[in-house]
Amino acid sequence: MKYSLLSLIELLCSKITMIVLSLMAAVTFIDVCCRVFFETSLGFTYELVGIFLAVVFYAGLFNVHRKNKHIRIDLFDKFYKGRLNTLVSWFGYVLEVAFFSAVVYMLFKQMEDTRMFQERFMFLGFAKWYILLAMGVLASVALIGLVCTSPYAEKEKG
Amino acid sequence: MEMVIAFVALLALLFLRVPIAVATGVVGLVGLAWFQGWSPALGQLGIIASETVLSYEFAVIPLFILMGNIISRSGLAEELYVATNALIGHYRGGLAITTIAASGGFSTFCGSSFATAATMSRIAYPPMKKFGYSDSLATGSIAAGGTLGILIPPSIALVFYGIMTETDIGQLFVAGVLPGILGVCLYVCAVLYVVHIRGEKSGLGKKASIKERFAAIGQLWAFSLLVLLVLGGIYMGFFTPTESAGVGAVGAIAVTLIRGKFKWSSLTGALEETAYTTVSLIAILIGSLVFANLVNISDLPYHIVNWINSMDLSLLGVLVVILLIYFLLGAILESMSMMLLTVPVFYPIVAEMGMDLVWFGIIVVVATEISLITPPVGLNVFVLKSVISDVDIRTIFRGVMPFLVADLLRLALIVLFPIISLALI
Amino acid sequence: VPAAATDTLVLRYNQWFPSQHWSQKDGLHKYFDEIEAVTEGRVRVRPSAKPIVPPTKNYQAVSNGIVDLAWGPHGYTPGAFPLSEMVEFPFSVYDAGISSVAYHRTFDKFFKPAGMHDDVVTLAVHVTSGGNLHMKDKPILKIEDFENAKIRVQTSVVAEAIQGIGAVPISGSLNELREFLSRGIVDGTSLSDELLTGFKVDSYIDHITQIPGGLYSSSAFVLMNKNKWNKISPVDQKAIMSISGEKLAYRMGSLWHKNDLIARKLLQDRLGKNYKVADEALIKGLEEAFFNGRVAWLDKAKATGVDIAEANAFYEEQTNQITQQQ
Ligand code: NA
Ligand code: NA
Repeated sequence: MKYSLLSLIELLCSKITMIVLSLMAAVTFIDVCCRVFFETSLGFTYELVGIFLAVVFYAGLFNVHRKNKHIRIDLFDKFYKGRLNTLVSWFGYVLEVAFFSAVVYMLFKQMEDTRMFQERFMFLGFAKWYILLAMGVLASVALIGLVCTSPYAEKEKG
Repeated sequence: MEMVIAFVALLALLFLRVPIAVATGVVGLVGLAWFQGWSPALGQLGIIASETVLSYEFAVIPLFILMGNIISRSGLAEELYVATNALIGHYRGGLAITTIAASGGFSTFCGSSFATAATMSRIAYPPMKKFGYSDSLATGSIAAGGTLGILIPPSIALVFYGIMTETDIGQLFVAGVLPGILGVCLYVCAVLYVVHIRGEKSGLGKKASIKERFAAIGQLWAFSLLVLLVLGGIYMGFFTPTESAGVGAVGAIAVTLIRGKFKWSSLTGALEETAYTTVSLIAILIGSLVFANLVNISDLPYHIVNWINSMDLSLLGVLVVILLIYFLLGAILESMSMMLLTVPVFYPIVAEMGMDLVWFGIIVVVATEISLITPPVGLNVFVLKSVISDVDIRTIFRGVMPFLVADLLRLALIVLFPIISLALI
Repeated sequence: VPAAATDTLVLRYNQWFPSQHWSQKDGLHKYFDEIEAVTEGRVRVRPSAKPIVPPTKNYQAVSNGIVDLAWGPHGYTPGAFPLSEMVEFPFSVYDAGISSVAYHRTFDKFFKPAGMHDDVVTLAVHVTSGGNLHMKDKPILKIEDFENAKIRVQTSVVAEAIQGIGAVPISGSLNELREFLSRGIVDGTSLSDELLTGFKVDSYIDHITQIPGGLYSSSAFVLMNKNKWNKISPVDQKAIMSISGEKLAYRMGSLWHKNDLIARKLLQDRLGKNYKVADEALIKGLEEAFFNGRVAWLDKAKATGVDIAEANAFYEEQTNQITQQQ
């Protein structure tokens, strides 16, 4: 049950990331076309593309966590064997969870600040904190993914 | 003193295999808390994690990577490689030179050194392996070749520099052309040195017939079309460098469609891979920015500036000092964060001394380029490692060394002869 | 410069604006030197080497102690400071120095008691010089010229107003403006003349329509963190305040005005008859374009509990009074 739920989220996050990424390219392209061929322009492109980037990042984070795709330096991997390997892996894992928990917490804090401030997007017109809420939720989901993933350990070669 | 501890701690975490994003982020956060308390420290993480990601300027990253990924699946880079190979592949070291030339060509419009390194490692590594090239030469030429694209326009690094220093981005692009070509030439020399003087293993590629050569070159129309679209569009003033990335991505899809090579699975594959790369790079960007704030809050730049001023150096002396700092920082910092960190500190110093900021921009970007292949943190090397997982990372670093020497030579030439950068503008 | 005392309190300033711009070099950095002088070296301000937070987060960063001092426009966080929009409406700033003093007095009398800037110590609020219409190829001389014109704007007030008369407002940072103009992404921009030359984009502009009193003006702040402020001795606090407030507002505003006049002369010399002053019909049309925005803003401003009509009258009265004194 637990695993099927995780794979469902995985599928969902991956679909969101891919669709929004395509939209990002499409909106940029359409904006350029409108300008070059029809002398008009979508004033909100700037804000929209920024929002898309945020969604791509936080939705994509889930799968990067799940698949241990974060870039790390494996220069000394061959020294980490057996229990040392386990220890090093868990150490990194704890730091990772701590750091991304801080990110989630601060995103919600930032959302609260933005809401109190009544900040708005200049051209899209709606309140900015909705997007921060979405970022916070996606980052939380990603964090759950990280917690449910066993620590990164270089596979013993053999 | 605190900063010495911070740098040592960062290195320790990196060697303990903590993800780069987490290592820089955690050290930055703890350091900021030490100087300012937890609430402001976390506040900065919050602002960076939301504002950085919510900005148009950084959208250039996924768009360029997407374009590169689509192109790499469209067989375009392969054709570029095949065409170059048909011309020079049968000489000794020819495949490595082919890799350098194709990387340079590919990154001309791809703009991302990571995408170039990732793509070329898929295309160029198997044939080099097949014809008996040593692992170090094969991987070294791919990792180094990927850095060429950072300077050759369109260049994200030059865009960032232009934004930070209010220098004309169009001028910067033009200025990057000759140093870019110089870089390709020196890399070719490095390959020749490795195979002829050091005598490293490098088999001979198959000699192509005249007919094959013409056929291969004829295949390059799609490549030319994209170059025309992306670079032409920027130079003609149809769109900004950032927008060119979006146009290029859609253009790449269109080209694959026209050539009948479009597969739905390659598009989704490209999107998926772009997502992975984007997320891990932006995560690093977030961590680096937190760390950069620590460097800033610790007043390190302030002390460096005072120190440089106190030595009362000539412009050349100042440049040498600045480049030494770049080399040291480049050992551990990722290139983008290094630029974000150093450019605002250094450019007022050289500007005050009357230096041309376009010229300085080229120097900075070449110095940054070098950081991508210097150990221990050389991102291009890591990208390569992630694609070709069975080659030891030290082998790649060893293979990169001759190219590093070529880069340093180029840097020296660009510093000593400003005309190389400024001739075309 | 007096030697640093051992107990020097070093305050960090968020240097997000180009440090070589006169507003920083000749304005704030000089003010920081004076802070050091009047406190006999006990308080010193150090600009950061690079922006520690983006310009949209200046207020937040000062309030929670990320930086100790910040300067910046209110308009970068649309919606957050509704009261500041009072000075952003058109046709009111003829001399930024005078208007800044009047604005600072209005802030002290009306806005501050209503809780604006409650989380920080306000060293000054001021206005920037009025914005004109700077166009690349096609001048804007009558309201119809706005139709389909792509114009980069600085504030949402202007964005909404010109959208209503057919223009396409485009956002984007000042840094991107050069790209925008050179690539034809915008047909023009609305800025104060001095920002046009200050950001070296004037070479792309061939037509300027001067709007007397400005199409808009920006409201800006200079803020300090409360905790850091409380660490300063009462004597030094008093010394700092003696060069802040109205004085600082005037320093920034008049510096803006001075540079605006220099830039205006420069542009007039270069453009000749292409530097025009807006005629009555255009002004009238613009007034109408801003009407809805003004009504909507009045409601927002009233919601803050300030008698905004009275505050506005006070601001105008002070402006006139100071103008006559000079
Ligand atoms: Na490039
Ligand atoms: Na490096």
